[in-house]
Amino acid sequence: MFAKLNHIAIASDQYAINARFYEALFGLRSAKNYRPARAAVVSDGRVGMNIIPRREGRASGLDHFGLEVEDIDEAIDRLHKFDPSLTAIKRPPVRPFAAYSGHDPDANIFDISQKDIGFQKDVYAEEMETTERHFSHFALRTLHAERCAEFYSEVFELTPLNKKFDDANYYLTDGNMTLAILQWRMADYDDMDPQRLGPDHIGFRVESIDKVKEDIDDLTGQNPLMRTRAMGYGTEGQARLNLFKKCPLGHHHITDIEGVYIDLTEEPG
Amino acid sequence: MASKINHVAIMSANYAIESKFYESYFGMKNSPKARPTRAVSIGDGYVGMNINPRRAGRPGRFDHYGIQVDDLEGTIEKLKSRGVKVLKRPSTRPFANYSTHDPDGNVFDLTEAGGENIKDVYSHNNWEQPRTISHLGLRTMHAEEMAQFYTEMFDLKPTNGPVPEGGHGVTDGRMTMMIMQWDLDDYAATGIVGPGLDYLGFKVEDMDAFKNDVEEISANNPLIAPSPVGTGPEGKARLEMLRRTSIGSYHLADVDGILIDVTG
Repeated sequence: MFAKLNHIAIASDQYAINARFYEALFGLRSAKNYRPARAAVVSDGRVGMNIIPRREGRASGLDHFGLEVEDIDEAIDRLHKFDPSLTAIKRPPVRPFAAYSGHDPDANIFDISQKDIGFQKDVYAEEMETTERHFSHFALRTLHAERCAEFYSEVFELTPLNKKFDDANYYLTDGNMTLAILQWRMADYDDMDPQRLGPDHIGFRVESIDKVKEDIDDLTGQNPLMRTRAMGYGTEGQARLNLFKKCPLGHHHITDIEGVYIDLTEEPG
Repeated sequence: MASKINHVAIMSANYAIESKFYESYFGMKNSPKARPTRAVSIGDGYVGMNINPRRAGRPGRFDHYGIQVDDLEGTIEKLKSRGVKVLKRPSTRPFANYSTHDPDGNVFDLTEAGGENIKDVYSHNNWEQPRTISHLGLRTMHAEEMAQFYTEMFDLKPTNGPVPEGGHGVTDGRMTMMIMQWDLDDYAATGIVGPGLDYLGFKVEDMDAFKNDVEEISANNPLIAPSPVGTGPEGKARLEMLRRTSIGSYHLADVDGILIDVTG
């Protein structure tokens, strides 16, 4: 594949404890050589997740994703060819992953890096075994889903997956991770507050959903700071959960300790 | 048609303490009929601010704004004629009858003056105070078109007051939206934030008195001290960008990190 989706970032009001949650529940691992002041960085062996302390002017929540490409110059060239108004910018060198950041036609932000480019740090530079529970997908909710799907297919050669004929969403894979591009519609928010456009949720592939449920119960008993957020309560909570469940890639739905949506599947990739 | 931009909303994991910040530094007031289970609603006598608890699946941030119109049905017809969707809201909202969005996907609430749904500070918003919400900053993909959208749909006027260079200011006479072009290049030296609401603006009676209050209040109660701005190279770049694209002479961030632009 020309590109693989191997970076996820969360901006967090509680970055240290949230990283512990992903380590404890999903078995993600920290880098051996990490920089504790900047972010917590954990990995499933293929996809790294930076949990960044929320800085001034930023929102907390699922923030962006990143793609590692075979040839960064080629990727930027393709991005400009797809739409000359799209841009990519070089990033300050302190980032462990990103060489450049760019955006799709709906201004969804992503980082771009290149394998063996030389400056990658933390989990992005270390060889790690793949964890049993690992990332399966990253979902965006956006205004022009079809156009964005074309973008990721043409620029990054992600492969569209089959979907139901009446499904307005798009699913593209790098062979391991799927990028779910969900159509944002005002009408979906009939019984709740309208949700922002942009990153929506992350998905994990697990060996047993029942075992994850048991682990959540055990984890919360050991450490109440690891409790997940309430979902599905009241008519509005139920409406939000029902919309979340419409993504066909997940079969059980939880959040992290800050409320970032996570869905789980047992289906093999 | 008369319109007022008189609602702003924040989503916060610390919604109660966030309210104390705005009450302490800016003198925002609670409604005498507050409903503590849902959100904190505070106001400055014109603009009501809802600080909502961050819910599952939602980000914590400066989330949306609201516009009150004197002809709701007429406004909805105009919006629909532009191909914009309009959604009726559950009756529990103290402000919003409807939610809608501009063509760039910026979501906002709509209500009608004197509507039956209006509660909390939105039904008791007729006092004057020395520190008030005066403007908000919105970065969006098509700034010029969005400024035109808000003037056409809501009869907001181009402001005669200061506007950031390259920005568009549309006002209801008291509250102004600063609509600026979102450009990835602006974030070359700092963390990237996507399009959407960027900062909240306040007008204060005396800048020196306000700065003294910031120092004194944060010393008395560190839990409501402003978040740091302008620290480190990336923080400096972010602050420089805020200065360039706002109209105030003093900048700070609330306890959650939401940027605030203060004018004298």
